[in-house]
Amino acid sequence: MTAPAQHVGLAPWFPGRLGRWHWLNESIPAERVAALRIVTALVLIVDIVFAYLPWFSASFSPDALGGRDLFEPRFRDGHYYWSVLRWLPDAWGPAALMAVWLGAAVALLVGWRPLVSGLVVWACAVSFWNINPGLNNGGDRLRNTLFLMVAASCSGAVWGVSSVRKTGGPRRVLVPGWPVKILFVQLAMLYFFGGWYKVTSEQWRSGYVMYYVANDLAWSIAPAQYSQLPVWVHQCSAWLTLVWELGFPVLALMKGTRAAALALGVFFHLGTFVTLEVGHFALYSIAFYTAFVPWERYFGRRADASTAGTATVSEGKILAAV
Amino acid sequence: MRETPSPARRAAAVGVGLFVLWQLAYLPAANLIDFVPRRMGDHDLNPAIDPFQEAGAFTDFEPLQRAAERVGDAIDCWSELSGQDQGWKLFSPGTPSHSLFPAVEFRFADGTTEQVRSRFEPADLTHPPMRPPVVNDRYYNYESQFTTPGWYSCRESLDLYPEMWSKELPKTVRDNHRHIIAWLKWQTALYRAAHPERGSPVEVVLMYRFIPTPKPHGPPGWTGPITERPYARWLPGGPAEAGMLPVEGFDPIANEYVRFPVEGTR
Repeated sequence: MTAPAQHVGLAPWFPGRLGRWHWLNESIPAERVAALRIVTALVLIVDIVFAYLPWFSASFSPDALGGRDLFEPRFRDGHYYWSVLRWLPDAWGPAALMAVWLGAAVALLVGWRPLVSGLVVWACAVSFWNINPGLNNGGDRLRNTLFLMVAASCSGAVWGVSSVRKTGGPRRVLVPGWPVKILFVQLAMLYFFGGWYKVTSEQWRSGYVMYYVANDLAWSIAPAQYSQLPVWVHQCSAWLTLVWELGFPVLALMKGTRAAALALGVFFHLGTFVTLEVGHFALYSIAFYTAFVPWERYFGRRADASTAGTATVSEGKILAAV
Repeated sequence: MRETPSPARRAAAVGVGLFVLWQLAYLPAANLIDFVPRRMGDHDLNPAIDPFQEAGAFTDFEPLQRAAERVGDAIDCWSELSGQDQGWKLFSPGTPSHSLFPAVEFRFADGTTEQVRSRFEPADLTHPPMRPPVVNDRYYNYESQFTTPGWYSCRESLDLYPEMWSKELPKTVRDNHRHIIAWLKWQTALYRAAHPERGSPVEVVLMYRFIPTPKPHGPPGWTGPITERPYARWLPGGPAEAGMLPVEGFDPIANEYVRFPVEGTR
């Protein structure tokens, strides 16, 4: 006989039939959101150390490309953009907040008070995102959703210094699955609407768009190598992108195509990371996928995999968290 | 026996439930609302704050139009507060048949000029080097702000849509004048630190450099003629006329700079 699963976190209340909808209400193994937390924190640390810091003084100095008033129109009346850096002096505000951000990222990495550290990470991310929008791409908007969901996901239940289960503990740990569902919906919207804008373009439908992207000396970070591919390969990659992006919301939900759709997503982002100047967009996107992998099968207690337990989680289904 | 949750815990569960439902509805709605034309108020323009939103009206039935706009306002409010702005259009509607790089041209009182090219523009087009991912990405994004408005403005497009380019391209300079000036000032400071003997330029021009992409199925290599055109001009000594911005936008159809009054700009 195995020990019953331990539920961590607050199960949300939903009205009526929504309260009985399995997809929305199921719990998931805590290892999935713990892995999400760790990978998200690592990506953020890479972003801070390798992307922000080399250009830090230029990016946030009022004598160069930043300062709290440079993008003042963003903070106009009638809109709700905000940044802690608007209230801190230019002389030390960005450096202080960057230190807080890095510290919170490390706290998230080790799982120390992940709700608080996750919210601090999110607040710092929004603050830097708004104070100098020129530095951003779509990955920054994506990461804001990611940080918010990581903070709310009870991601410190295992694999962290605040864990409820210490190494070798006898019980499975389950957490509410809704943050992962929201991340899935975010990815589905990203791909579907991205695909929709693309499919209305003749250049995308003809497939030549990827040829021109590969040969764009600004966008391509390996133009000499990337442009060596035959034109038909570029065309096929464009068509595959269209089908995959438009189909993702369905393909990732259907059992038979789920693993392939998710694997293709990771492959797609890795591909753009090494060929195009998309930088952190690819890394944060890949971090999303961490939550869809059944890590508990590989790193959880061996006994867990065969446990039916009392939980509502659909363990044993590959990538069931989607 | 199952423990009855405390009122506080039940209230928290309701709060979390409502938050989850809002997030699940918000994400598709925030993408869909961009397709619903909405009338922009002054607080949405100069510069436009949401580049993805369709502007205008979709119906003459005022209550319906207003209702859609109120829904849009609520969605925008959460987008801005939470930092979750939606809108995913990378490489849509397509990629032009050229690479576009910014360059900064310093014009001196003695009639001489010096040009500083983008750090991303390959010096040798026969062997463009590989670049590492991530490390220059944010600098690249900053620089791209200046080329994005004119990315499609090649000669063929100027001929096809002269009125649009004549009006809209200079307007992007007006809308983005704060960071265009910051960029050109910073480039000037870097240049002067490296060349103290040159003194101060009288004009600093943000140039567009178009490098043609080889045709598909044609000979490889970036061998086509490079063309250049001004995009914006900053006057370090101050505007040519009182009440004007110290930066001017270039009208590629009339081939002249356009001045902008300070009044009405943010």
